[in-house]
Amino acid sequence: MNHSLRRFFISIVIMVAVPHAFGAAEALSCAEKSIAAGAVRTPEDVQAFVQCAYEFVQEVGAEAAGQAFNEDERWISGPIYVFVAVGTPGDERLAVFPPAPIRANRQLGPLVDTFGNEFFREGARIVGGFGEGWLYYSFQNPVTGRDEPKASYIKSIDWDGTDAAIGAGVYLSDMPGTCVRDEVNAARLEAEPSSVRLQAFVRCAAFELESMGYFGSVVLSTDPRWRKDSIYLFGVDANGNVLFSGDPYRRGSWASGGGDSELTSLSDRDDLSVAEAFGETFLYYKTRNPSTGLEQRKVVFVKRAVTYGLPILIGSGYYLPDEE
Amino acid sequence: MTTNPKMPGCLFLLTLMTVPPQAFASDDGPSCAEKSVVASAVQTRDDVRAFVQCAYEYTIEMGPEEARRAFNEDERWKSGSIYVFISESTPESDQAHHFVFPPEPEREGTSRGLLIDVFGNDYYKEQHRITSGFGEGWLYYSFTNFATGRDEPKASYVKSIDWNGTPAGIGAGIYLRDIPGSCNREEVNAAGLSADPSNRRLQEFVRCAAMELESMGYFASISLSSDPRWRNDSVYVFGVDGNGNTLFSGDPYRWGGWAFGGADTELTSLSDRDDLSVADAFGETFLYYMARNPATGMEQRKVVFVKRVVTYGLPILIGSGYYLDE
Repeated sequence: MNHSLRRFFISIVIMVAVPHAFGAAEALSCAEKSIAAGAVRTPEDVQAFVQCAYEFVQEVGAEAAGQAFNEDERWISGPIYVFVAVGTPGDERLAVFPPAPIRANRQLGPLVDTFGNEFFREGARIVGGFGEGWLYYSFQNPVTGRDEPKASYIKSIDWDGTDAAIGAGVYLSDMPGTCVRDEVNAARLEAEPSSVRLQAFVRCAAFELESMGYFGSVVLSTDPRWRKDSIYLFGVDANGNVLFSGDPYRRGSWASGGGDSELTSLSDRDDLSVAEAFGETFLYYKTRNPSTGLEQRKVVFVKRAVTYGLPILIGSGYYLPDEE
Repeated sequence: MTTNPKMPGCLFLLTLMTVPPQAFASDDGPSCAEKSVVASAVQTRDDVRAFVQCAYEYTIEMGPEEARRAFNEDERWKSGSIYVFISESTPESDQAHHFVFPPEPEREGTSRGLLIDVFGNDYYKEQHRITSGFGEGWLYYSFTNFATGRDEPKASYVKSIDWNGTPAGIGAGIYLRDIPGSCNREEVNAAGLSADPSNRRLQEFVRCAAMELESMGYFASISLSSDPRWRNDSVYVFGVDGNGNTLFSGDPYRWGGWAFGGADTELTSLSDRDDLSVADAFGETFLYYMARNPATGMEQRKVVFVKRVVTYGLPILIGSGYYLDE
């Protein structure tokens, strides 16, 4: 926290004229896209969630909406919830704050995060000048208890006669500023496989590859963060040569850069070109699970990364249990 | 996609995988009650998956006859290039029947033979492999976009369903303009963004420019700052390094900055916020500020989208924006 409020307030006042001046043409109504708190995963989901919350307030009024935002699963699930910010400079409050309702309507003072964001001032600047928009900051994740980067969508609203901002946000685990080793790793993917977790795993590995280039090969194929039991990473060049792989059955290929890659599929389809063209792809095939030695169904996610000017397809996957 | 008489191979392997529908992904797919998207609102791959889930539940609830009518007629299910299709799931891919195909309803009930695309996809074989072996999943192929009339890369989500006692796949797909295989100069360019600005179009514009930067590295600086594809009236691209130095910019007011690598960048905002660190940490960010519009010379509100790319090991923030109040 910090008390650096009110500087640049003039610039905020200049921008207060036209709420709802952008985004109207592309804003979707809740009837067009509706989402419950438990299903929010992406920034696009957050924007739809906030639109639904906004419309809900128009429909039932601030008091009933505030109660629902605090209590109903429709509006609160884990780290996903609706907040409403009200007040004037020097007297900012959160009228709705489900993670700690006891703090609602209390004067909080300036909230300044590690990026230098003054939360209320940035919020006022965006809703005052642009009607609605994205706010990126660091905030306590109520599930982990840690301060983490949060992307919130906020929108200007009349809250019981008071100018306010209604919003919600998401904590993403696969951004450059997150991708924390303790959260995104092979052991967790092995223990709780899902397509969302697999995506985060591969995206974070791709960041490492993009930063380190070919020097990333050894780490990505051997570090326990990236390799555990049946989970491993592989990297393939545009010609299908295996550049690295944590698959113990393919270590020879890795050493010699052999042409028989994991993406040489069973069908006539050119999986390399598909993965290259679409940027991020899910693939489904049977292959030998290194932890069981059995042929099993595998769900694979492949991301195209460009490292030192050359495209590389980096991927990983989890195995499905075969039915009896 | 073109019709091709080539027969599918590997049928033996396919039959090994024919057992369990619904065998995966129930862990992370929301129900239609949790997430619902109408056809005209489908914009992302996640939307496609939710749309297919809703179509699946609608078919289960209302039955094939009503579902077929609704998928062909109702705006809820059909808008531009977005629609629901249902086709037979069979290993004999040259004989698979269309059950629902809104762009060409006259094809419903018929088989169109093998569909092989430029990637070598045998569409029906792939659909059968995924729906019978995995229950549901993504298919990536090239198909006619009925909104443009061209063959374009399409990402479809398909899900196993029983259609009047016949195994089938229900699905829908999206044509994306900002993937490595698209990003066409004629579709994604500064003139288009300038004429019809929107956040979605801005994202496409910056993502496509980012791919050029990733491939060409610093050699892309000149084309990104001067090629008419990337610069038109008020729309231009800029690139900033991790220290805030402008590496290139199509903004005529900042040519000096580009030439001298000056530190006064577009991302030096009015607030105390460290916009560079924010853009670097979040990967893709929208920013909102006042800036001088090079087309009008006036200070105007600007909506900016910035993407972090790594080129030759170094992170660069590449961005562009459109002005409001024009």
